[in-house]
Amino acid sequence: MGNQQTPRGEERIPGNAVNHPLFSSAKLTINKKMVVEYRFTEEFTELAKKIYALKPQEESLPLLLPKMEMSHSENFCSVDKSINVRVALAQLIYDFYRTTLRDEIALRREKKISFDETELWFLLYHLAVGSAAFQRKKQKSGDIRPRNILIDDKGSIAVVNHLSFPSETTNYYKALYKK
Amino acid sequence: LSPEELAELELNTKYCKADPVISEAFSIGLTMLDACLLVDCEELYDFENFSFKNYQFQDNLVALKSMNLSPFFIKTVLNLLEVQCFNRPTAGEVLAIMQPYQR
Repeated sequence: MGNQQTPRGEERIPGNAVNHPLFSSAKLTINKKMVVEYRFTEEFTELAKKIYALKPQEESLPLLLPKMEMSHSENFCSVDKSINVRVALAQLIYDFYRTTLRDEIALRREKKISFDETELWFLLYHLAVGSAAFQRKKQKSGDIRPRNILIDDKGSIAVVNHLSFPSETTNYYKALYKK
Repeated sequence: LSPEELAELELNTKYCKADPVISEAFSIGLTMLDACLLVDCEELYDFENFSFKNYQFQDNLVALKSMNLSPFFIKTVLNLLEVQCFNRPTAGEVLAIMQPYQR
């Protein structure tokens, strides 16, 4: 696996990226009271390397992320442990794309530049293709929303699943926060 | 989240009975609404009370209808945003609608 160019033209060395602290361990602070430390397994690191080797998709087929197991230093937390793995994976994947649809919408809102109808049909078509691909794999994205739609420099679109899940919306977090 | 999924969330059911394919179509519709109006439809959800801000949603639909877009496009997005899930097309059905127009 050689060095790669990011969409922004920066040279990247995959080996260094997966050694980044984010991908070897991460800390989650909940309500400034508890700190849960995650340590990613070797399996995750291997997967990260593979994802890092991915090039932006030519077709807007969804990037399917498998659920990963990982070690967990505490056992009290009922928050979905895979969330933080997904966040790390998301970071890896987002690096390959110029932006998300959410950011693009925010930028256009600021500059008052609407999408034209051709662009909207293009987006609708690729979302439908992505969703249909999930269906064919008997899988549900369940989370199609602008922040999970990636756009690269060429304007191609990729739908990703399970990349974002706002932990602050979980009942667990809310219960914890209320205390 | 589709309205029916939100209702399930409120009931705190262990297994969601809402049809995931149909629910996903609503998510596609909302994403398209975001893109058309350059808004953030995540603000339509009130997760504290498991409710959907219907008035704001209807305002967005009115704004969509008044946009300078073809009636065919607007109708397609509005179909995806049908609150009644049995009136909503699936992603596959949307692709079928679009197929005659593909180059």
